[in-house]
Amino acid sequence: MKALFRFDVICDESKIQKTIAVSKEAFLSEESEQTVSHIEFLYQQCKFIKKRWWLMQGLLLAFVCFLINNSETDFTVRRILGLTGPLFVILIYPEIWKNRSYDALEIECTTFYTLRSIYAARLTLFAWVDMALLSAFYTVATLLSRVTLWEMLTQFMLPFNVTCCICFRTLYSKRINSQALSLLLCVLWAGAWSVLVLNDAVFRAISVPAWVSLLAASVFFMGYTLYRGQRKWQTIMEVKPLWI
Amino acid sequence: MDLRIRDLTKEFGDFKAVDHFSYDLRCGVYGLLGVNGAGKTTLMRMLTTLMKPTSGQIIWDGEDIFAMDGRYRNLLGYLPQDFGYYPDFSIYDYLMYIAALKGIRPAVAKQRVKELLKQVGLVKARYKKMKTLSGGMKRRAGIAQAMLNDPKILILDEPTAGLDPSERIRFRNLISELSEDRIVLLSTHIVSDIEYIAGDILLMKDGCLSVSGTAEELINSMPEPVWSCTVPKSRIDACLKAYKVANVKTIPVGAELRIVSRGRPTEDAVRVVPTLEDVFLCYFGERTGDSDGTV
Repeated sequence: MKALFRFDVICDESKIQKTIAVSKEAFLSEESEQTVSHIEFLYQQCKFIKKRWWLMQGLLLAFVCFLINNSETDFTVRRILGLTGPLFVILIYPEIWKNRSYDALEIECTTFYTLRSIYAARLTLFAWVDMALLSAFYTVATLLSRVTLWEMLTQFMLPFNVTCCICFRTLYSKRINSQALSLLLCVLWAGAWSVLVLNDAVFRAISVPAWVSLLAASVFFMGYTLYRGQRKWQTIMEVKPLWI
Repeated sequence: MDLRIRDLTKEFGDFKAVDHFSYDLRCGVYGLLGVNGAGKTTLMRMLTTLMKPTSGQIIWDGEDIFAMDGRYRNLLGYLPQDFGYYPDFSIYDYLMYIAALKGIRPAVAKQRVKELLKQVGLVKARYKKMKTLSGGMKRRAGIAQAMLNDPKILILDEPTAGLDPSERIRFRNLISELSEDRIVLLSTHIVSDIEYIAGDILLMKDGCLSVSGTAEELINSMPEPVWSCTVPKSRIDACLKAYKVANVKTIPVGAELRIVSRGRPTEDAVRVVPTLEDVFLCYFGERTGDSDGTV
């Protein structure tokens, strides 16, 4: 009975290798017909982002937590938060400006996924990570009973938003092609904001509706800057040649 | 497979960088020749969709390239004059990054990068950082990125600028190898670069297409003959001012000049066979002095 079910398997190595090669070829041929999806593109962009800047942002927030926990007055907390907002954005500047700083735009604007998609993907990733970092920061700061939501919004998010507006407006500008100049504008803004929050009289003079209006305006302008930039990204390349 | 340029114009304020340029490109290597500021780069930027023309159209197989959007860019490979790269990326990472932008799926990208690194001779250097590469190696990495999507249209803006002679020859050969079954448009102001590899040559001046044809056609249709003559040292300056001088070779009795001129420049001048460099000088060359023509 046993003998009835007995059979020998003969392996021909060359045929196996041939089958593997044909399968690989068929797979690659099928793959080459398709393009990378938006989600895959987002993932690939994430791989090419230097993570050290996110680490720096995280360390900054940790340091700020330490500072506000040891600060004695609300005034000091306010001052720290006001300075942290712009600095938090400035830390990610090299990565946001990378494409322009290294003059990589010319090639990046002529590929299937253009600069518009690259910026959209990268800014989405930065937004996700920043949101996660700031949520964690707010949770810790609230647990330490040092920062209220109102203070977080007016003292941190407002200067943060304005710095983002400066960053995005210059990033999509065809005239300003300098990360240094863009950074300088941010530093000037941070300086002006510090003067404002350091002056208690001026600070107290700003009413709640005024704070709300300023915050709403900053959110609106940031959205508008991004929308305009994404619509008119091609004008970055419409630069008059130097010899004209 | 044809790319038609129809009455293309690009204005920057009052200045016309490209002025009613029309030409049809089919499979083959085309050399775009012109002096600096002739409008070559602006024309190429429009062909790569980087700039929109003020007027005119660029049509690929009957469709406007700006309307084709991503579909057109999928057919395109472009190497700009001074291409930017991320200095901390290795060649391999850089090529994988560009492959991702070109929408190539990772498995295909890996295979394609492997093949191209072999073709451009950068297999051993693939993990070297871009910032450590020599000019020639950077250009080869540049051409590899342009070829990643196996483009039907390959546009190379001054690809040999700044390369040493051996790298230039190597690069020229590489372009020849890659030119099969596609349109290659190569801009340069180095005549010898396109003399060997370009089928058709387009001479561009002040944004317009001055003349086009094969190297032979251009040489044969030269409106001015080329002369060779020997002049004493005291007359060299006068000759340079009066004629388009292609070459000055100093000899013990004076100098042997190669002159492009309608009339015989000196009594003893003899006509010589023109080259593409003479054609270039004939159309773009200017005398170094005033134009009274007396020697």
